[in-house]
Amino acid sequence: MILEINNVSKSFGGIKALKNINFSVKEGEIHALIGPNGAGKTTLLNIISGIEKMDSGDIRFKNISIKGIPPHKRAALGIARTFQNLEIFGNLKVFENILTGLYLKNQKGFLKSGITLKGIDKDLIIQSFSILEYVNLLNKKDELAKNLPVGEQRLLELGRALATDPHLILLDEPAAGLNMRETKNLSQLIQKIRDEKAITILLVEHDMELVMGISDMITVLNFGEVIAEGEPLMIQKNPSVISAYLGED
Amino acid sequence: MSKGNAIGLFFLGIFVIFFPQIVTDNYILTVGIFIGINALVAMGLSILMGYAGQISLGQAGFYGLGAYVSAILSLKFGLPVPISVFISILTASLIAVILAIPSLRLKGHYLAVATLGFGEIIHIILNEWGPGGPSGFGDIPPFSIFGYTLRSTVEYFYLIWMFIILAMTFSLNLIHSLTGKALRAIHDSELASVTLGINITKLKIKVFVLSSIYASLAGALYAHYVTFLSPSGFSLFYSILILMVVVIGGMTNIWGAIAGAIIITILPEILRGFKEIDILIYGLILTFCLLFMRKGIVPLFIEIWEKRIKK
Amino acid sequence: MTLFLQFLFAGLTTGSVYALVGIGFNIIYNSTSIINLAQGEFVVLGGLMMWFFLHSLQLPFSVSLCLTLLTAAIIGLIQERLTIKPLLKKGDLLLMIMVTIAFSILIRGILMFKFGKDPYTYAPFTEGEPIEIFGAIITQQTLWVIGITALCIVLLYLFFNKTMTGRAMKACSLDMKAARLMGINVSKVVMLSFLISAVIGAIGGIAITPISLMEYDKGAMLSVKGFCAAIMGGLGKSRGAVVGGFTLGMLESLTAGYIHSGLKDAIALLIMLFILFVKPAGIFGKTEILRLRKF
Ligand SMILES: Nc1ncnc2c1ncn2[C@@H]1O[C@H](COP(=O)(O)OP(=O)(O)O)[C@@H](O)[C@H]1O
Ligand SMILES: [Mg+2]
Repeated sequence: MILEINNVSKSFGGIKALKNINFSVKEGEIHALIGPNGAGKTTLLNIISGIEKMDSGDIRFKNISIKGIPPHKRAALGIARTFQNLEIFGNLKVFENILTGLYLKNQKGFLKSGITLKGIDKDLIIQSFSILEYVNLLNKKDELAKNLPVGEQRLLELGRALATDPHLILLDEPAAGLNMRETKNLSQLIQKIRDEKAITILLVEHDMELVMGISDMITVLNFGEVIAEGEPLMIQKNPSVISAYLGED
Repeated sequence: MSKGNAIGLFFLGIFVIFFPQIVTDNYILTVGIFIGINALVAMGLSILMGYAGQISLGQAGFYGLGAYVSAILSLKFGLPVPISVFISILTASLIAVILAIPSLRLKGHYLAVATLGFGEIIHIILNEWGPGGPSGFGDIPPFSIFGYTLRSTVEYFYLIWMFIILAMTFSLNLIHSLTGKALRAIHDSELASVTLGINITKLKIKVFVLSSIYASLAGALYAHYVTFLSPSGFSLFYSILILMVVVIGGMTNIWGAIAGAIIITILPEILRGFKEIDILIYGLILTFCLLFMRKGIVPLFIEIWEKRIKK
Repeated sequence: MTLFLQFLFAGLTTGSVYALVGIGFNIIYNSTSIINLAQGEFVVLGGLMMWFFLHSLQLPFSVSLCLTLLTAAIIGLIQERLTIKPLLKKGDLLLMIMVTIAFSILIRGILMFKFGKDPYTYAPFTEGEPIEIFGAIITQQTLWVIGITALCIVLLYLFFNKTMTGRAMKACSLDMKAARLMGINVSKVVMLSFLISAVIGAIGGIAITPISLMEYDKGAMLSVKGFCAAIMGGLGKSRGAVVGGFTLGMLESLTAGYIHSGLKDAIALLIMLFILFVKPAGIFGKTEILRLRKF
C-alpha cells in the first residue's frame, strides 16, 4: 500500500465534509475516487497534499505517517497533484511552469543562484521540453500559460506535477472542461504515466467512461462517507452507488 | 542571465564609466547619485513585489536603519566606514528576519500594514532617540577605504553606481535562475507552489532580507555621502515613494527600478518652482500608472519593441 | 486621580475619531475585502473643508456642515468609481492596496495645494463653560465629539439592521455570492460603502478639529490608528472597532501623559504589530478570520 487513509475526519464550521474515511491505494494502481458534487473529494485531496489539516485520523504514505508534515515536504516525499480549479502559473511561459516542478530536485541555494552567471542549466531546459513532449504540449512551450485553453492548462498542471518526479499523483477532475477527443487522449496519457513511469494515481473524476475505462479500483464517497469500494464492474452494479448518483440529478 | 540582460548590464557599465567624463556638471552628477540610491532601494522592493508577490511599505525603515547605524558607528564609535556599513547591513537584515517570520505569514493588506507599522516605528525611534532628535546630526565621516577618503561628487557617483551594478548582477542572476522561477510561481499561486515542494515561507523571508540589504546599503551610502542625517527623510512617505518607483518602472522587470528611480528623482527637480503641488503630482502619476499603465514603463517598452520586431 | 481622569477623557476624544475611522475600514472591508488606506484622509478632508466653508466662504455653520459632508461623499464616490471599480474584478490584492495608497496621496496632494502646511482650526460648536467631573475638566467640544460618535454608531446600527439597503449591504458582507444570487446589486453596495465610510471619516474630522487642529498630512497616521482600532476588535466587526478605538485612544493619552508624548504614536503601531503577529483575529475577536488568510 502506497497510501493509507485511516479514520480521517474534517469539518468546516458545521459542515462535516469527511466522516471517518478509510481506504488504501495500492502501489502502481490507478485508483479512482468518485462521488457527487460536495461529497468531499477535493477536501480529501487537500488533506493528503497537506494544504488543509484534518481534524482527526492519520494518513500514511509509503508506510510512514505524514500527519503534520508541511505540504512542501510531502511533495519532496513524492506526492504531487493537480487542481480542480486550475492553479497554473499564468504569467510564466509553459516551459517555465515545468521548470517550477523541476525546482524541487534541482534547486541551488539562494546565494548561489545570485552569483551564478549562466542561469538555468541547459539540461533542465531540455528536461522540461521532454516533459512537455510527454504531455503533448511541446509546440506551446513558449506561450504564456494563461493564454492556453483549459484542456491544455490541465495537461500543463499534469506535466508540472510529473516534473517533481513523484511516486503518487493526485488528479482532481482532470477531464473537466475537456472535449471527447481530449478526454480520450488524457485517459491514454494517465495510463501511460502509470505504465511507463510506475507512478500511482489517485483520480477524482466525474467522467464515468474515463473512470470505468482505466481504474483498477474505485472508492465512492457520498456526503463525506465511503459508501462503496471495489473494481469498476462491481461499482457499476452497486445499488447504493446508483442511488447516490441518481439522487444528485 | 539572458543575453539581453547581459548586454544591458554591459552598456550600463560603459555608461556609468563615461557619464561623469562627459557630463562634469556637479548638480547633474548629484542627481545621478540620488537616482542610484533610490534605484538600489527600489530594486529590493521590485524583487519582493514583482517576483515574490509580497508588498512592503516599510522600506524606509531599513533605509533609515542603514543610514543611522552606519553613521553612528563611524561617528560616535570611530569604526572604519566600510565596517560600519557592513554592520549596518547586518543589523538591518537581522531585523528583517525577525520581522519577516511573523509578517510573511500575513497576506496582502495585512503584510502591507505590518511593514508600514515597522517603518513608522523606526521613524519614531529615530525621531526620539536618534542623535539630535528631529533636527538630526552632522559631521558623519565620508566614505573611506584603505586610507583613501572619497570627497568629490564623481567619486561618490562611481561608488554608488558600482554597487548598483553589483546588485543588478546579483538580482538578474537570481531572477533567471531556477529559484527565480520558483519566486514567480509564488506570485501566481502559493497553493500550487507549496504542492510542488517550494518552501514558500523560506523563500519569501530570503527575498525580504535581500530587499532589506539593498535598502540599508543605500541608506548607509547616503549617510556617508551627505554627512548629515535627520529623520524626516525616512518616513512613510519615502516607502511610498519607492513603491511609486517600482510601479512606474514596472515591477515585473528589475530594470524598472532604475527607470522608475530616474523619473521619480528628477521629477521634484523639474517641479522645483512649484513646491506646493509635488505631492499632488505624485498622487496623479501613481493613480494614472495603476489605472492605465499597470505594467510599468520598462515592460511596456519591451512589449512595443517585440511587436516591432515581429513586424 | 484628577490627572488620570483628564487623560481618560482626552483619550475618549481621540479614540472617538479612531473608532469612526475604524468603522469606515470595516464597512469597506466587509463589502470588498479591501483595506482602504485612504480612510484617514477623509478625516483631514472633513476638518479642512469645514474650515474652508466656515472661514474662507464665511458660510453659516449648518450650511458648511452639509457642504463638507457632501464634498466628502463626492470624493468617496469618485474614489470608488474611478479607482476601485475598474480594478476590483481583477482580484489582485496588491493592486487594490496600492490604488488606495495612490488615492490617499492624491487627496493629501490636493489638500496641501489648497491649504498649505499650516494647521487649521475653528471655534467649538457651542460656547460655554467646561464641565468639571471629579476635578477633571471637560470642554463642551469633547462632549460633542463623543456624542456625535455615539450618534453615528446608533444611526449605522439602525441603517444596517432596519433598512432594506443596509440589510442588503450586510448580506453582501456575509456571503457575496449568495447576495448576488438574491438579486442584490453588489456594485451599488460597494459604492455605498465607500460613500458612507467617507462621510463618517469626515464627521470625525469636523468634530475633532476645534480640539486638536488639522493639517494636510495627518491622514496617514489616522489611517494606521483607525486600522489598528479595527483589527483590535477583529476586522469587519463594527462594535469591535468602537471598543478598539476607545481603548487605543485612552492607551495613547495615558502613554503621552505618564510616559513620554513622543511615544504616543508608537503605542498604536506596537499594538497593531502585536495583533497582526500574535492574534490576527483581534483582541476582542474570535479566531474566525484566520481561515480567510490561510492562503
Ligand atoms: N474551505 C471550505 N470552507 C467551508 N466549507 C468547505 C470548504 N471546502 C469545502 N467545503 C465544503 O465541504 C464539502 C465538500 O467539498 P469538496 O471537497 O469540495 O467536494 P467535492 O470535491 O467532492 O465536490 C462541501 O459541502 C463544501 O461546501
Ligand atoms: Mg471537488
